[in-house]
Amino acid sequence: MKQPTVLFQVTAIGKNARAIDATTRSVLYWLRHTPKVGFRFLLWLVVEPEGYWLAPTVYEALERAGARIMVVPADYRTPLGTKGKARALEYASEQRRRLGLSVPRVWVYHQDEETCVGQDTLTGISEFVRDGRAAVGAGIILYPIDWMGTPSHVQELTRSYDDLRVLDSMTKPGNPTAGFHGSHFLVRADVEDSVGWDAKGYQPSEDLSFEIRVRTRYGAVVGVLKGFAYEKGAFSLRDQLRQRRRWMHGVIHAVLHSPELPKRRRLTVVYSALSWFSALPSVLVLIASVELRYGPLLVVTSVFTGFIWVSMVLAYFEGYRLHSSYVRRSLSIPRFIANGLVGALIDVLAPWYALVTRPALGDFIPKDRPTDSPSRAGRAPAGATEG
Amino acid sequence: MSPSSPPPTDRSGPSEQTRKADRERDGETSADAKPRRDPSRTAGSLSGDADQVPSPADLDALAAWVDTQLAEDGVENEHFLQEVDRIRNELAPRTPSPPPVRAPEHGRRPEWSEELPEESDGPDRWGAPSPYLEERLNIARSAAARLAREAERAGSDVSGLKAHLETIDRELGRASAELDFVRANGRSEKDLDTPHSPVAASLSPPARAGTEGPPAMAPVTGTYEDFTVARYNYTVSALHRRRRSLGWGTVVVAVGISALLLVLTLRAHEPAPPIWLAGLPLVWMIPVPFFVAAFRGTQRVLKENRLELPEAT
Repeated sequence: MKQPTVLFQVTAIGKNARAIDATTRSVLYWLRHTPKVGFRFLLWLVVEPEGYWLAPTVYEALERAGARIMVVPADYRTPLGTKGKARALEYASEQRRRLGLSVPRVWVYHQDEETCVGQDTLTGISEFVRDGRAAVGAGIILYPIDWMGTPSHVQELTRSYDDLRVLDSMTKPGNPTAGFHGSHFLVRADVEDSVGWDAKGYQPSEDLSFEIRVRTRYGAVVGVLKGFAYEKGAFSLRDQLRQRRRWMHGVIHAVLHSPELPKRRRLTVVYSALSWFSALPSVLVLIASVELRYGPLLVVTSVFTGFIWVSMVLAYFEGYRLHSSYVRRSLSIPRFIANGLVGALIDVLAPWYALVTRPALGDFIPKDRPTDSPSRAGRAPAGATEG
Repeated sequence: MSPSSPPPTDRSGPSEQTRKADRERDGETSADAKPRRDPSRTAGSLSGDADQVPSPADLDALAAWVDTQLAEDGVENEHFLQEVDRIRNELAPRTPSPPPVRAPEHGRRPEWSEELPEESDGPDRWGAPSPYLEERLNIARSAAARLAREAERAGSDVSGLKAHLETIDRELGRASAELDFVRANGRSEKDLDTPHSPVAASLSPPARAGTEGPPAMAPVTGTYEDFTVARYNYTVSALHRRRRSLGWGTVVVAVGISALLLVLTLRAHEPAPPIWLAGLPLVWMIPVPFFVAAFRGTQRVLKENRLELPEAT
């Protein structure tokens, strides 16, 4: 029996050349340093022309190192005319079909431009594709790369712990809490290419649309992918806000423009969005309660308030513990709390910000660490100490 | 003279200054057109062609060339130097020596001592060749051949050593990082038996083939070389171990906080709020099912899935 093939596919605009370079080299490095990897591999970088021409030498070097660079032609059009990242993903899907790679023994591991892999990622992928029982695999993402303890980085810690909830939800029928990932997921090539990424117009969250379509067609085919992926958080609060805005636009777009979304699933997606929207009013009500003095009404809600508070604090605490073996900067507890509160405030504001603003088509979140950042200069940020 | 033999040098015998000058001259011209000579070819031309008997100058030049190569490669090989000295000694009798010095009479310096005899290439000045010349040349040939072989071997040894040093340097760095990690996380070093060490795993023959160093990176947090199976297993094992305490701890603390809030609310004895405010606290209730589902899901996924991976051996 032939060995399975894993196609590592990095799909991005390509403007974060340094991040792409590190991502690509992490794959190549660990492919060489992981004994007994039970698959053959291909490595594709699918980028837009404007990204490629920002740093052609980087891409040429990566091509020499073993990656295949696929620049999506500027005049490429999908049958339904989708735009953005979905267009690039559909282009890669077409290439696979053309090359005869849309077969069950080929797997596509999706990476963002900053999704570095480790020895554990490859070992987990190897175990997953050899097992072969699930057609889609999703795992936990950590955010240790360039971690500096800023508010946006502290906020990112909670996402890793929340991935446990996402994994449970994705592997259950119906995806009850609407979990999904846009990177660090593995999908059998024939499954992906049969569903495709094409849709009418721009899809802000193409990964959610894809998950909905796969589930509609194949049912609960998601399994737990062992091994972490390693990414980096937004470098500024503004970028964090824009990133969350895009997510919320994706959720709204899926609810309004996904006819294949079953009614029950639509309800769960709407409820997830509503929970997020409720964060800001909750904070406002909390503040107002002191002035409005409606204490007696809190008799009922206080029973659940403790649980919500503990769950939120636990996400920061456990998120940090998941990262503690990987980040070398530690924060003082007061600084950690302060940064966590600021980061949380941005997340609280984000859905409402998404209601009043619209992202541009090529909404670009920088992932290359600024060259004059304290980390580059070897200085710790305010309040941070070398651990 | 063979085309591949070293260029003639000062016939009076290669003093250290002469060799240095030769080296400098070679260094100046090497960038122009002069190819680096192959020592085996030089040796072959000396030892393999009976018609072309090498002159002492050729051997001196060979010695100078070897010195240059050694200096270029940064190799201090005692054996080489011995071979060079041996060649020099073999040639020494052919160099005209000054007449025996007699002790100056009455403390006067001999007048001739200030002047060296003029150089001459012709045999007239040296007289008849020594009957031992052929034997000495044979010795010199074999010495030169050995020298050439040694130089070739040393060249490959040096490049191999460089590669090994780079590997050692890289692996020491990784081992040091791993030890720091283990110490920081309270595991004893004896737990780091070789088969489970990611450092050792990375040195296994299949993985070692074709290894190239990672690109130079600034020493920032979270470089991909740190992302080992050992570190992953340590993280997820710890998470699995505290699953129950996380679950029960969450419930206990949540109940405690809720009870405290309830007591504070009841003790406040606040008046009943207007009816239009009654719905506001319900906003807090919206995410409760989501948080409950998240809590249950987290516990379930940890219970049903062992996330550890087999460590590389």
